[in-house]
Amino acid sequence: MTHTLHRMGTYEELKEDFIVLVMSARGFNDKGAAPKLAEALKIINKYNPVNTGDMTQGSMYRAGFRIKPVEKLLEGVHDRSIFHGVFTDIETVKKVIDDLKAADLGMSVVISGLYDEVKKITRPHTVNISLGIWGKTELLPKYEEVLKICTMCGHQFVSRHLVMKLAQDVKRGRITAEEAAEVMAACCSCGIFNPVRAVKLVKQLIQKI
Amino acid sequence: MYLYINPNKCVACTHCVPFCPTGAIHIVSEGGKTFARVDEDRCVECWICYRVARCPKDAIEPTPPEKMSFERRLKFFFASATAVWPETGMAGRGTEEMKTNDVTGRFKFGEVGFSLDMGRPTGVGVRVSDIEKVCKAIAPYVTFEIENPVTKLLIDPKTGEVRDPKLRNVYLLSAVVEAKTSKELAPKVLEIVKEVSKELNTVISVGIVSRVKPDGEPEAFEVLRQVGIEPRPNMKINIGLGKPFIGWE
Repeated sequence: MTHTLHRMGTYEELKEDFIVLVMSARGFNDKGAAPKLAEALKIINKYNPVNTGDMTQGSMYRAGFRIKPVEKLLEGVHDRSIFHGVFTDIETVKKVIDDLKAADLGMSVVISGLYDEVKKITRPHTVNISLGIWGKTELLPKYEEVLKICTMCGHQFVSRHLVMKLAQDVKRGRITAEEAAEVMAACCSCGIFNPVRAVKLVKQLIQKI
Repeated sequence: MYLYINPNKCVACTHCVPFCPTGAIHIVSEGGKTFARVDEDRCVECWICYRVARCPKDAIEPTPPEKMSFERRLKFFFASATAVWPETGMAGRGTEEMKTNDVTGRFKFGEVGFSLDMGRPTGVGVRVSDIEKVCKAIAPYVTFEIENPVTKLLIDPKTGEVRDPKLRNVYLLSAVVEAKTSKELAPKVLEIVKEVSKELNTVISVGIVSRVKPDGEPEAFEVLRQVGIEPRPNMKINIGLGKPFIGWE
């Protein structure tokens, strides 16, 4: 899966968009991994991520998860849970990684974000490098803000049509940009959508439509 | 059977329409009634309309995967983040690829991996015929990831040809072609993908995987310099905390 890769944006914008992922490896260290993954989620949560989730259970924006997201996710943790936390600055990511290193859980940890920034806080082992979008790119949305918002959900569950509709609603004063971002975040089942970044992008988008 | 909007319940409020990533829901008028209808071909069975939009009249009626045809089940599993494939026992569209490489050692020094996410982003979607074009073109130069659902279900990993010609026209939300080759052959593969992507009626989000050298430079940067491709600044970075540990050398 490449669901956290290919997030579009300028270098400055991506400085506010990092995802920490923790998972076990099937057939290698997944048996009995649940308590270790639960510990990882507690560490992620300690630093107040702007979104969090388990790929197998859903995100904190899922209906019913909004009030006690971490408690709900901990209730359902299992050996193959894949936890994510989204953070808006590298300094906080460093604190999360330092705690994960100290906990020595033996689970794989992946950071999605700017390579030059991540390299400053820890030593990379293996990378998946985004080379951008190839092929019939004229099929992509007209507004770059829509592309930037939609690529924050790699499974493509945040519809470009929904982004435009919600932006229109914000422009007409029916909802706020924050409410629009929450609806978008609810579409992303893994909890990797960055609603803080989405608010900024929606505000930029409504200046153009 | 496919995801269906019951015209006897639908009041054409249009609430569900924008939630569809591929724009498959349309409002139609027939027999004096106006209601939402799903385009069977464009629908990718992601169920976002059902799970997130939440119809106020409960008019959206998905078909359970076990009652779907094989073609509809392909759509369903290729659009799901979590569903476990009955044929493979794996969840999601791809594999763990480099995310657990510190434990599995799937990618070694001297190797370059490819993750060609076809049909992504923004709900462009992909027909199996376009997946076949890419797989056929690169097949002589790569080893396809055997655990990946494209390899398991759609194509012959030796030739890249589709296993069942009837599947060529099936439209999916996306599919990740996963493969790897040597560092020496990787530039050739990238050039082929670049060339064949011009013939596609879709987009590819292209990613390449490699180990990171002790000096902090990804080994794949040598490949990218050879073909003159500039990487994007953001990557997915495994930081080597998993155990059993595969060493740096």
